[in-house]
Amino acid sequence: MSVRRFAAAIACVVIGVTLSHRGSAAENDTGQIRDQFIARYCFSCHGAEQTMNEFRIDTLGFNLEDSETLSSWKRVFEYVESGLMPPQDTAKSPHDPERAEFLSSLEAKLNRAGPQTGEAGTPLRRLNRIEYLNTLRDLFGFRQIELPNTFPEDSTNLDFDTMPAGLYLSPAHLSAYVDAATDVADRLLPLPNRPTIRSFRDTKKVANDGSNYWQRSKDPAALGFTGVNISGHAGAYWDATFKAHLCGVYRVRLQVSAEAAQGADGRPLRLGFYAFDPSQYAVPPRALRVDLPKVREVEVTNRELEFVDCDVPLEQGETFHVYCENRFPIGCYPDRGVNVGAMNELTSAAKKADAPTIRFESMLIEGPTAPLPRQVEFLGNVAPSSNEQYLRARLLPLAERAFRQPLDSVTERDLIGSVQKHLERAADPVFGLHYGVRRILCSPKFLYRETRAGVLDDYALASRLSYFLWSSLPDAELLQLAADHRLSQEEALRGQVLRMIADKKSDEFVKHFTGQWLGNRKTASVMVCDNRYQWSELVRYGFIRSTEMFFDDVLRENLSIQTFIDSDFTYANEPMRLVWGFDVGETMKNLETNARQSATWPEPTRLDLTSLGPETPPGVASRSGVLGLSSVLIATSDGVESSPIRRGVWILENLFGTPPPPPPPNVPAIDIDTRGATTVRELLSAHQQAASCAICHRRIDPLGLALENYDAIGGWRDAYASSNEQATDGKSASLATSAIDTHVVLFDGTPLQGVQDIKRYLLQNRILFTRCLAIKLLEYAAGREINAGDERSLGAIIDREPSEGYRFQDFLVAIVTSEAFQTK
Amino acid sequence: MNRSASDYDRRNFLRCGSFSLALPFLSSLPRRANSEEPSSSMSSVMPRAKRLVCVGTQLGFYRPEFFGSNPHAKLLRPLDEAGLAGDYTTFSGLDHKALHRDAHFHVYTLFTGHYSPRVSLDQFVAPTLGGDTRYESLQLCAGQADLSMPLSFTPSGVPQPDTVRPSIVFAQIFGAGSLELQQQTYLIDSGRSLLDDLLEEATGLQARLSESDRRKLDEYFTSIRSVEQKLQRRRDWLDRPFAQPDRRLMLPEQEDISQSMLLQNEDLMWDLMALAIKNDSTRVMTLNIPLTASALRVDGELMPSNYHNYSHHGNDDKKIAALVEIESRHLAGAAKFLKQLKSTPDRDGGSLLDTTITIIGSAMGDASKHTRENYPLLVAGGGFKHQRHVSCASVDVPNQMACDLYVTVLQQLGFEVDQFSTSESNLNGILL
Repeated sequence: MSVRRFAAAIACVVIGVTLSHRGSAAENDTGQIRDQFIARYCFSCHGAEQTMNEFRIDTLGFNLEDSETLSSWKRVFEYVESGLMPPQDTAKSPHDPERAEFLSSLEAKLNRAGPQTGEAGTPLRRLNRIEYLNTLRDLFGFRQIELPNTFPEDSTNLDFDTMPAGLYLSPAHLSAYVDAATDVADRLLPLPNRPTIRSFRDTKKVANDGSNYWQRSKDPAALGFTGVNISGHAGAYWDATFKAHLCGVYRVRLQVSAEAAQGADGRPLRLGFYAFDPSQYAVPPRALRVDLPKVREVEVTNRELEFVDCDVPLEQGETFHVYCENRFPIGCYPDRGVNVGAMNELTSAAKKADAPTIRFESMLIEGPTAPLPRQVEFLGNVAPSSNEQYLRARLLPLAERAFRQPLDSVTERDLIGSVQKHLERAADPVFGLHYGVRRILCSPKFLYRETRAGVLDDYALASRLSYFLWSSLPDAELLQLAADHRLSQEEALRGQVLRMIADKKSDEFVKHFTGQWLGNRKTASVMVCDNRYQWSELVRYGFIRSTEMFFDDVLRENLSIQTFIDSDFTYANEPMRLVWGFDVGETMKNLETNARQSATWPEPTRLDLTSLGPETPPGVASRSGVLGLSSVLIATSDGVESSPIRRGVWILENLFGTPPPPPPPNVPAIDIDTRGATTVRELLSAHQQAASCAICHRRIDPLGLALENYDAIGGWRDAYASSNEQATDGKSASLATSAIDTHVVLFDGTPLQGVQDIKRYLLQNRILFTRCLAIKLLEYAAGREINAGDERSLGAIIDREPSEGYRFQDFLVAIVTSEAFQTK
Repeated sequence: MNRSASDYDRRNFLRCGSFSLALPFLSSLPRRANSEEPSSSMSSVMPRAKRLVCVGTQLGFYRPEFFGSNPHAKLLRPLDEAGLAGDYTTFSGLDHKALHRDAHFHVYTLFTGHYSPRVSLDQFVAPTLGGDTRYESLQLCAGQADLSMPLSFTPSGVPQPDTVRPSIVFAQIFGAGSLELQQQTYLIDSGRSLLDDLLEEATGLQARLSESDRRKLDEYFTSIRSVEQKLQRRRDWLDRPFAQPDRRLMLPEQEDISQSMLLQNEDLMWDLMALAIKNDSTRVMTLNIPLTASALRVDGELMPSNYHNYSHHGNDDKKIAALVEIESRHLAGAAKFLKQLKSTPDRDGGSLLDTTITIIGSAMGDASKHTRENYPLLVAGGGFKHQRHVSCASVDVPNQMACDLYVTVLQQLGFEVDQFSTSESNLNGILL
């Protein structure tokens, strides 16, 4: 982390202290100044005589190829820059100009070391969990493929999950890759002698599971589905004991009769088969016809019981629901926004309805009886053979796409050679293909990306671009441009960025970048004290979606990047508006009931902040920009109390681009006694008793305190809750009722009041945010900390900013055409 | 001078490059000891203990109620009430003398002794102790963590992910619906030749990489060897039946692994660990009790503030009471676990408690101040001479190395080692 903090510290110096020297710093290596400074201020405590904190600067040397040495010097920079070192209480302490001179000299030295050292480029990185899954999806186009829940999670310790430091490849990962590769190979290739299974259920075997909805109107002859929404009354069935052990076509023999010649739509009664994988749901999905893929449909016309055979294609691990499609008129299955009264009416009508349906007597499932069409196709619609030409034709195109670049002859020979070797012992050529597919998907060439150092070649650039904006592998168009060596041309690159943003797949960028930059992932897991706040999962959903939708608008409508600082709109769903104090005409409880009935989540809608009515609750007008986004406010709290410190750090790190350095080594632990403190401000000032804490907290705390009008979940408050109220909640009554004071003084002496002043400050110092956003995007894309060696790239991006500011798509073009993006 | 496996040097390993790949894998680990590495050979004397359970919390324990020097220590009450008063020892004055680490991140060093990547105690012993069981080791986590910090590290210092879902641990012990034997055999056998091919391919790739990328690819090599071993083990166990599920353990129908359910899931994990030992599914386990900044559910009620908040109690009595309430649940789980071991005889004599060493502790000294000194540590069972509390700090020696304790643990497990990670001595005089 120190590298990035270092970069940010430089940003501080560059922008805050010596704005003009950025260009000259590199040439001006004033080694003498540096050495004098060190000899004068550092040796006495970090030299031969005394070695405080086990750190010696006199023997450190300037071998910056050595990563330990480099990081030690970076730490020296941080501490001197932040004023922590040399200690201010000693008699001799450097003057500010002396300090600045030293810093620029050290910066120049380190700058030069930056990109040349082995540490500067992005280390080899494997696909993260999301990229891996998306890549499999796009590579094979399977209807549904999910990773098993035993698949190891990526480390969450870093800012972005694209950073190799968090992307360990542990034995557990490799083991999971082997399993996943086997799963994919099974899906593509039916191995011979596959075991079949058989599952039979009839009315007698259907025990009462305690649900009222199992059987329609207590009619023992009609099997039903256990769901509680309206489709459950349509005449439905699910054999909960059946799960496809292999993918393939399953023969389903139903014993059914139609209660009428036609259903509500005037056509014969029909059954629809909807597939799902129960292991992917905490609760087996209700009859969400909108969500589940329909894999088969069949008409039932006979009024007498008869056997109907259907072939149902299933993926491994899937099972299926069977529904009567047209017991009720189409449109009777509302998918959103129905009010509770109407829904209840419909449900009770459905329960009592005499509307004809399909009656079930029994269901027999056997299979797999045949391979899936996809499997036949993968074999090339011919019988598999162990002929080399055949193996090459089946496997090499797959390997080429999977490795995201043309294959060299060694790779081809190794792959086909190992398959042929495998076939020497195998009875059927299919085993060879199965082996080959597994080998491709476990290959380091598939699992790792960016293996060549230096400037990315066209193919590596295509990959970096597609994993940046799609979190998946490059498509045919990108690969074609790479093949023609046109991708590194700026115009072509620009065209691709715009095309990729327009593609639905860039939803992945919106989701994962907001997830990490704007706190959405944290929002998804934070636990809210529901005694204290109006809380519901619908609010959480609204928080996450509204942040995505806000970001999506800036991206797809190509708005100015300053929209992130201040905007004239935001998004909110109804439950969020309730939290914000709007009268939405419903209680939270009713909103929850509504959502349960409609089986979809309440989507946020756009809220115009420029034309708010007189009834608007306080604080709504200031919910502009990312500082108004609830995900940011809740992710920087713990769900119980707001945390000015976390919020201050968040703003410094994510908007100012100047995260505070980590706490110094061996800070003597101060025994903080907070029992006497009565307000948040006092709590914080107690925290600042020690000078070594105060240095950073002077920067952090004011920004956080300016946001104190927002409670832990981002609701607006003018005063802290009274101690009495808290006591009844069982809360320790430490903070008395007091009005909230958001007057603060920023580290540079600027007085601010409240969140709007922070936005104003950022708009006045636009370069801070432009730089910060560039660093964030580059770090996400390149998967490494942006450091002193990237000054040139950042400088170019900042210098190219038009006077009216960047629009977001243009900004992204500037990012992807930068040296930092195009170099490993 | 003996060279212990903890001296295992990544760079050295890398320098050997592909040549080392031809050697029998993991040759530096105790199991495959050869004459050059006498320190890791097995003792001929029957070890007194043969299982190791390592439990670590990320937020420490409130020490005034944890150390047995306090006769009324609230956190020890669950153990004493379970009749385990003579079966454990708490230690004060032990730590890693760890320097400059982030507020919370240093807690992952609990069983490694050092913040640079190296093997953890459990993984050091696993290849030897876990030889005859279905799983060499299991890594469990009581809930979803806010900061993911595993306790268990492979010999090359790569963290082992832990299992958060009790249902998965259950399936590991008692088995779950699986493929036909013939197909499994094919997949395992072909999987092993697949790994050989991949090893060759990666070796070719390695030659073209930069120094730092090669270091990263080392993870891939190490993983291949480890998965190879795992496949071998799976093959060995393929036709041996799983244990019959214990009907007394009921997993909830709807698994809820959200952060607020930490204590409930932890409780299940303690039960599952006892079952894993009783059924001899494994002999080495870690249980990670993570940090959450979420309010926990206790007896069906959500606590007013969150676990992490309470750990920063700032000497506020109410916050301390809440923290101790949470932490005593950790030890109540431990007491239940240890009691089950105590009441079950070991095949080789004594009880399972006598032959199982359980270490419970944290590399967080005082979470309220984020200190790295004087860890709360407790050792139970394992045939040790227990004495409720031992203070390892004296006037001359302010703090002793926590790894000194681990050396004694290793010797009790039959390892002829006199050194582990940052150890400087041992605690044989106290525990043996």
